[in-house]
Amino acid sequence: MILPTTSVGSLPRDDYLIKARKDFREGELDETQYIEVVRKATRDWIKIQEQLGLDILVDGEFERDDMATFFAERLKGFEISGWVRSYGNRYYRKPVAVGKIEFIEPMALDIWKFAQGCTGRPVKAIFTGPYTMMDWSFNEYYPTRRAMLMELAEALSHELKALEKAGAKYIQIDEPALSVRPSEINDVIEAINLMTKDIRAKTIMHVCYGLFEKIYPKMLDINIDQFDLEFANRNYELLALFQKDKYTKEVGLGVTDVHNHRIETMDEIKAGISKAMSVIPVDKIYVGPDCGLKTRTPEEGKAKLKVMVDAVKELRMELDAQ
Amino acid sequence: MVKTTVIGNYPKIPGFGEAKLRKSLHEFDKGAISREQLEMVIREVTLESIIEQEIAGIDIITDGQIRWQDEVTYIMGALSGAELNGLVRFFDTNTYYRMPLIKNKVGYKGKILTSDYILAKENSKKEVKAVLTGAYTLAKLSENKFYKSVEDGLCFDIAGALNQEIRALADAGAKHIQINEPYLAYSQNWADKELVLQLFAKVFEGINARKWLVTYLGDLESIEVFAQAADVVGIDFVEGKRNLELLRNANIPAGKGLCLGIVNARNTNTEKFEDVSSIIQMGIEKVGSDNIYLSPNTGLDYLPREKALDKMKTLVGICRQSQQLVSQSQ
Repeated sequence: MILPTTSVGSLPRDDYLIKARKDFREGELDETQYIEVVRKATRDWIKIQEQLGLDILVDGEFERDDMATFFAERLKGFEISGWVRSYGNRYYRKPVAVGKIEFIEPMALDIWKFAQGCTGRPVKAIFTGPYTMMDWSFNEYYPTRRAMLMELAEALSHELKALEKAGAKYIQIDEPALSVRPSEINDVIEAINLMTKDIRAKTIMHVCYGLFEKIYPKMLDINIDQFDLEFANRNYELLALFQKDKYTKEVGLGVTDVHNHRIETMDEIKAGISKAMSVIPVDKIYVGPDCGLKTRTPEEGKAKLKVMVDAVKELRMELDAQ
Repeated sequence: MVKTTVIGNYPKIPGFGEAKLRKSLHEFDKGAISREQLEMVIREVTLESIIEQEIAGIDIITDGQIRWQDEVTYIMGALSGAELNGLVRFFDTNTYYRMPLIKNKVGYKGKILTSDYILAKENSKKEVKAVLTGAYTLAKLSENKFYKSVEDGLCFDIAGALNQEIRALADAGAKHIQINEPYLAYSQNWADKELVLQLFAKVFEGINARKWLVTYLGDLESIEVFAQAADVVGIDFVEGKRNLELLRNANIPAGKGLCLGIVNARNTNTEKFEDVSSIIQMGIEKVGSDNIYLSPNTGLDYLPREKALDKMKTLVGICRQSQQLVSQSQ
């Protein structure tokens, strides 16, 4: 089947999950009780994704408060700082490297296994990549950014292997920080290629807020099968870049803007995919939102996914008829 | 004597403990508290930031920019002609600002920073520096949908508006007024050097105050040219790896000051005097110890609040060691 549909990672948070997280933080719920609620949310959203007709599902990342801090809390060598500002009135606790970073045990595996157990469709396993973990942490231990990156790549390669061993067919490495320092792109290539060299599962890298003009086409040297990128919120301008220097990998085409309340129309999405098809072979295109949907309400998230799936269905029929 | 200062912003909520400003902003957004109640909290937090700068021993303080969402949104949101749009990453930091979409001619609507400057001045025995993001950085980080040219149009209209704001600050008694231009050092776009100088002249037109031009997130070429225009030039020695070499080769006019960004405001590590002494010595050699200001390389808002206080104490410790060194050599 052409144009498989999927999501980027996080899904909207239902009120019962938000309440459970608050109760857990305030000690009203213990960890076992909280995990039960996370599992309920995961199960509910696996069903929703199936009903919407998505092809490759995600667990929704309901246990992750922050995509860097979640993993730092589970690796050796990190402490978690006090609140720092992300934007406006939003804050997060930032990891601090205070010792040698080491893998302890798989971090994203349990919830992936649980989610995969709820469905016959493939569930994508997702974790945050070494460059973003490095860039989004304070560093009190390593002499250089590169040294910290390489050690993180070593540690996270165990995560990748564990997910593959457990049977994940699609494994996504999130690297939203990929382009922040274009001069470091060679270090990223080295780090990721070290991680993926013996991996047979399909590997995907999700990048957002990117300055791709600074790292393209060099980024194609990263040994992964697919880049999952935001297209909708930048009017598919990336395609011009991909036309100039031939794009060689699969693409996860972001067709809905996750920072916008407006639900895209079918025609907009079909036009976006068609535009991509003029640059990238259709059998290399996967369709999803621009980024994680956790900033949207459950209703908005479902509506955005539904119009996306419906647009793809229509397009498939039109292509079949040709 | 070598002095210390900060670059601008200060963490708004404690790293641990009650985050009253964050809570109040949420409540205000929901309509649960009044503007007056929110103003009380902003005032309290501004005073806390002032007290913490004083506790650390900073010589020239700021109001902490507690009202600012970030270095772009607050000022652009207060000018006419700009609409605030989606989130965009602020340079290579993991912080985000709302992209100003320029849909009309940019103009000045009224005082933006003066009341907070006055609050700081009235509540501190220290000298207070007023700080604004520069016209070049603000224009370059906006999306222009109105002007034919950013360089000929938008930049100068923003500079004109900032000039009115600076007049208000000078009228309120500001003796030190600082323009931050991180875009210049980050982009390394030296073709725009003349433009930045013209904009600097325009924002300070008719102003009698000590004029600071502070750069960060990269190297600063032509330090001496900027030192001819500004009274104090700020240089980032954490991110600007060539800056020591560039300063060594610079011929700074007599009487000008240097603001040396020597401690890393984006990391929780603790610097030692030995790590930065060669920079300080070079600065003293160039302009004399009375014209040296030591500072973090950027605003401190990237750190948890407790770490920001530690960082300022580290800075003041390094300053004292520099002063000892100077007095021994005399």
